[in-house]
Amino acid sequence: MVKAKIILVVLGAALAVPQVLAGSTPEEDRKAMVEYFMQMFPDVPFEGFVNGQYALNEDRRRQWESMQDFPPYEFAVADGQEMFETPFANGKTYASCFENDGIGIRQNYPYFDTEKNEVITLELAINRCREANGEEPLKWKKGAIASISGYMASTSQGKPINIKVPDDPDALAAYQDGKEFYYSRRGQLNFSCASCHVQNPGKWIRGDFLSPTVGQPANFPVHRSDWGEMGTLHRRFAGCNTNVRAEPLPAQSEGYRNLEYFLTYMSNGLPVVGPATRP
Amino acid sequence: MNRPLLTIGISLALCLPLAAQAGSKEDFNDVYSKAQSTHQDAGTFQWTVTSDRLKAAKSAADNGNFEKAAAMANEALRLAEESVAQRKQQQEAWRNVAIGN
Amino acid sequence: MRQGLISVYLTTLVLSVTAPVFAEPSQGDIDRGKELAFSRTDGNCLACHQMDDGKLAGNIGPELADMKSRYPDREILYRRIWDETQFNEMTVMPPFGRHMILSKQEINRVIDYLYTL
Ligand code: HEC
Ligand code: HEC
Repeated sequence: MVKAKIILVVLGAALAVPQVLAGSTPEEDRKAMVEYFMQMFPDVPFEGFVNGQYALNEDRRRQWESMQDFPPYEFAVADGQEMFETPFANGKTYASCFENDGIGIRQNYPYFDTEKNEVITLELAINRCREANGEEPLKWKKGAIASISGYMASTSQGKPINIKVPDDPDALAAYQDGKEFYYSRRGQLNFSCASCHVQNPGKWIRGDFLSPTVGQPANFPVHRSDWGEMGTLHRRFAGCNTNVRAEPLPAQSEGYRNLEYFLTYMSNGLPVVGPATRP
Repeated sequence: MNRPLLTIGISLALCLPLAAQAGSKEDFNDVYSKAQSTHQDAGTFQWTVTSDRLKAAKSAADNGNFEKAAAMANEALRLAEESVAQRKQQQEAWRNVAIGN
Repeated sequence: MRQGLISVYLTTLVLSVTAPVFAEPSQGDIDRGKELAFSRTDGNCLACHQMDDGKLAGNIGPELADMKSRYPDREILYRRIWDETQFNEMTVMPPFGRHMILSKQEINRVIDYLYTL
């Protein structure tokens, strides 16, 4: 009885909060943001935004294109495919955990699971698949998980990103939480994600050329020359947080998953191009 | 010269730095735990520099250098207080820069 | 002994009186200011501002030049570096003083340097 009461209270709060907070729907946010960047960069076609900084800087793009003959992530993706196809100790494979056997589905991640009431990213699904089959989970930010996720992205290239926020107060709350994280200033240096990627894309911050929000997640996981290897989106989040002297959240924490949910929703309609290379 | 006044002056001049440097274990523990709990209050708005000062304070204390430990803990506390202020301020301020509300 | 103590007291007094008065900065002050402005771990003003002979400067903020004629009032310049968000809520310039990125003294050295630009 007491328990039921608590659940009711919590539900009530969850129902009430989004109604008070949400002035605009996710789709209205996305349209306004795309419009904002199209006005800021009238010469960049919508699909061009998947190339991040390279969409905005001729010189950098030419250099980058000349490197595309031997992409440095090729071996990792081949490794990822092998791991993806190798059966677990129980004889099953990753394919058994995913829709369409895990082929061509990257564009649907992350999604909101209305039963578990949480955002499921591709990397989370990969590790949950392992655990469901009696295997140890992989480390979150690099190595095997990036290779497997890179392989899965490669089978989805060209498919338009299709993130949904179902008509569900918890899903909307997760989206709102990610949005609030994106626009809140953090760290001793006092930056939000938007300070750099909404207010200042197309500008130089010391030796780095800033990309816009829209298109960013389309190329993940990414091989960075800075890392000398592939890394996941949450590894990048952590890097961008620490650069402004903010403590990063743990990879795949609820906060970062909600952030990924918001960020990827903003790229709806753009094709998956991952894995890709970045400086 | 007025003797008592001079004495007060001397004690003032000397006591302040002395008190700050006395570096007792208890003083340190006080500031350190306050810094830690304030850092926790920052939630997802913690600063890396605060964590760094806390670590430095802890290791100085482990080495028995309570003077340095207290100085680091004090810095950690001031940084943590700013991060908490940032968290409070951003609770509403983020909307002013958001696209779509 | 007592003599020594008295002079400690006197020195403290003298220091605290002269601190807010800005004497001509020495070359050492100016060099230190430049070092703080350029260093990635201190001011890193170059991340956003072109200035002087700084390499790989960003362009988020305006070039810092003619500082003396544009900021005849040192106090105003100080307050903007201390916390630019007080002047422009939307700015991305870090509040160097308020967030303890630079100390008062360090900001003053940076200003000594800026006034040579
Ligand atoms: C101080 C500026 C700054 C802030 C604040 C910042 N970033 Fe970044 N971010 C960069 C730079 C520089 C790069 C590398 C160049 C580029 O692609 O923009 C980058 C790259 C990225 C990328 C990869 C883009 C690509 O094309 O591969 C993502 C994703 C990203 N940031 C997300 C975030 C998120 C989320 C936040 C907030 C948690 C954030 N950033 C905050 C500077 C920043
Ligand atoms: C993250 C980017 C960034 C950094 C780092 C930065 N600034 Fe700024 N600064 C700006 C921007 C943007 C402006 C434009 C005014 C505004 O946004 O309010 C500005 C404005 C200024 C102005 C007024 C400019 C003028 O021409 O009147 C001064 C002075 C200044 N900054 C000094 C500094 C100093 C000194 C440092 C280093 C200690 C520094 N800035 C670091 C972004 C930055």
